[in-house]
Amino acid sequence: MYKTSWGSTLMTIILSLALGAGAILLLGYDPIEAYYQLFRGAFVGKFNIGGVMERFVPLMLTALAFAVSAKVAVFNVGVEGELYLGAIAAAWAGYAFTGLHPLVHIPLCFAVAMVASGAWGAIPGALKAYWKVNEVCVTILMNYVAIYFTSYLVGNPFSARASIPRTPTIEESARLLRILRPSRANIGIFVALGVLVLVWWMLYHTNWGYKLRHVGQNPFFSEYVGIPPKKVMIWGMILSGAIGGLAGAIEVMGIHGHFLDNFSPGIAFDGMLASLIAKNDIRMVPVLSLFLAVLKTGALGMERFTGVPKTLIDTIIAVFILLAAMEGLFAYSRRRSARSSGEEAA
Amino acid sequence: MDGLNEILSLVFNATLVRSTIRAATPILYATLACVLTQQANILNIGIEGIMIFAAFAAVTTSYFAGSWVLGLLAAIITGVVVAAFMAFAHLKAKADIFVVGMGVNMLAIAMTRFLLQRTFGVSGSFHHNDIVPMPRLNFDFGGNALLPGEQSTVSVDEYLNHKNREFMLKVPPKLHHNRPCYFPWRYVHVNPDGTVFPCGSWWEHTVFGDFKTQTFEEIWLGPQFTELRRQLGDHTAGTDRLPESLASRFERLTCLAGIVFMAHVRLSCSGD
Repeated sequence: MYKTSWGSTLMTIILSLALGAGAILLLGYDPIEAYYQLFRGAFVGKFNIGGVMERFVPLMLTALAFAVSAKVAVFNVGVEGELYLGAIAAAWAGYAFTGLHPLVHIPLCFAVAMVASGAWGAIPGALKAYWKVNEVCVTILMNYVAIYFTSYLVGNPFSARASIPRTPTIEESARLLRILRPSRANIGIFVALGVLVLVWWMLYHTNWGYKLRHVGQNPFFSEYVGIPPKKVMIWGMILSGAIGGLAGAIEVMGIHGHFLDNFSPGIAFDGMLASLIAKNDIRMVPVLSLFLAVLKTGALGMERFTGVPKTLIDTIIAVFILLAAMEGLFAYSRRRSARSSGEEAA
Repeated sequence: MDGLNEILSLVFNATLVRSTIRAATPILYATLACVLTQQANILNIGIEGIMIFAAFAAVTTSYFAGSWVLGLLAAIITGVVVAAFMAFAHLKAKADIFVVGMGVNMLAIAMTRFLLQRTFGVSGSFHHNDIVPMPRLNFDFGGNALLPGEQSTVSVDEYLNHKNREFMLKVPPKLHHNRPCYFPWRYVHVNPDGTVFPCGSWWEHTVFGDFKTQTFEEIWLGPQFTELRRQLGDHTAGTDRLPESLASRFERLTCLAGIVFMAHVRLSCSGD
């Protein structure tokens, strides 16, 4: 494992910005203006900051869900499915129960979403723990099951009978309070940050969290010292699923107000990306999620005000991600130069 | 029972074998690519991106050089270059292979779209007669004919491709997505047996009328059409987005349904 230094991270960012600038320059646009608009589109004004927030919340929660499952050595590609199930469960609880106080209704929706997706997450966990079924394969396929199942639900029993396949709008008492008004940001961000701190504390400062990490690192040794690795692995997956479901619930209760068929353009995969670049380090997860959210939000402003085509911006984002992942890029060249100077000395 | 056999023989015929071979070819190559890297325990999910890059290289080279052999070579070289980059990123620069794969996939989609716009000035897809295709292998086991035993000069594939292209050329992009459907006010779709659907993509199989027993006026002003118009008209205010994904989701299904339906047309026409 490589130790990342702030210097190499900075170099990576500068290099990717320079590469993007070169591409923009080649097309005859002004790179400084383009980057100025990128950061303006992410940070200036309530709408833009709110836009970053509303993208940041599901990204960070799905990244966290992935990181938690990685702690019990499960490569959980199924967060997208958990997101969908959590979202539809929250939407159902949001419109089916009426006349509740918001302080009762909102936690109820969260609970229903987390139970539904937690149970969904337990399935691949149990399959892997007891029957050694490859979890990557299972979770990818279960994503399809979950997405098409919600599609069925939203088309038939839960349908609002509108021309768009969606559920009825949830009760006012289940809605999360909006902040930064013109944007769709909501108090879900505080819930998300709270969950992040709670999960971090549970993993690193409780007995239970220690067992979780222990099983992830060496299940055979856990068994030897008396920690049941199979049960702990399933509990880890349930936690991961519950966090994914929470992300879906916040999307429904804070942003859309109803479950929309196919509402997620692969949010969980972006979250997985963030978690993987952070090497599943929970403290780095919010930083990387924020990075991706800023890029995605700012790209809109960049496109609107400079005329740089959207496809080029997508290309630059992909290059950013690749370079951000290549953390050994500068460490490698430094080591090589160190080695060659060593040879000269010899 | 005879009806069922008829339908089964329509679905399971030489055309199915042909389509299966055609559809299996790219999957076979992709699987082979994955199996190779899996030998070194590298989960290569960037195959998708490599394929997209290579496909773009093949089409571009074939268009400009006018040779499918060169196009194939260009595709292979492109694939190797992308894979070499992935190897560098993973092995030397210590990037997570899963991130590299996903990054390459994203890069491939964005960059080929971008290059398509810059090079050919089109977005979405590029058709041109100057693209030299690979020669087709045609085993004559009747797969070309629409129905076994009948002679047809146009294969099902060609017909569907032609229709698809015609549609893409005629309809300006996005126009048909962002507004509610106006078909129930302007069109009827009449099936060969005289029954009426509101449009050709009506998959609910609710019959809106029957010309064998009803007049046009009875159908057009009938309860089904009225109800459909009411539903569409009521919700036009909230319809800022119709599900675009629906089209892609049902693509396969409609394709198959289209084949069965066309065969049905042929049958009922030849029967009369």
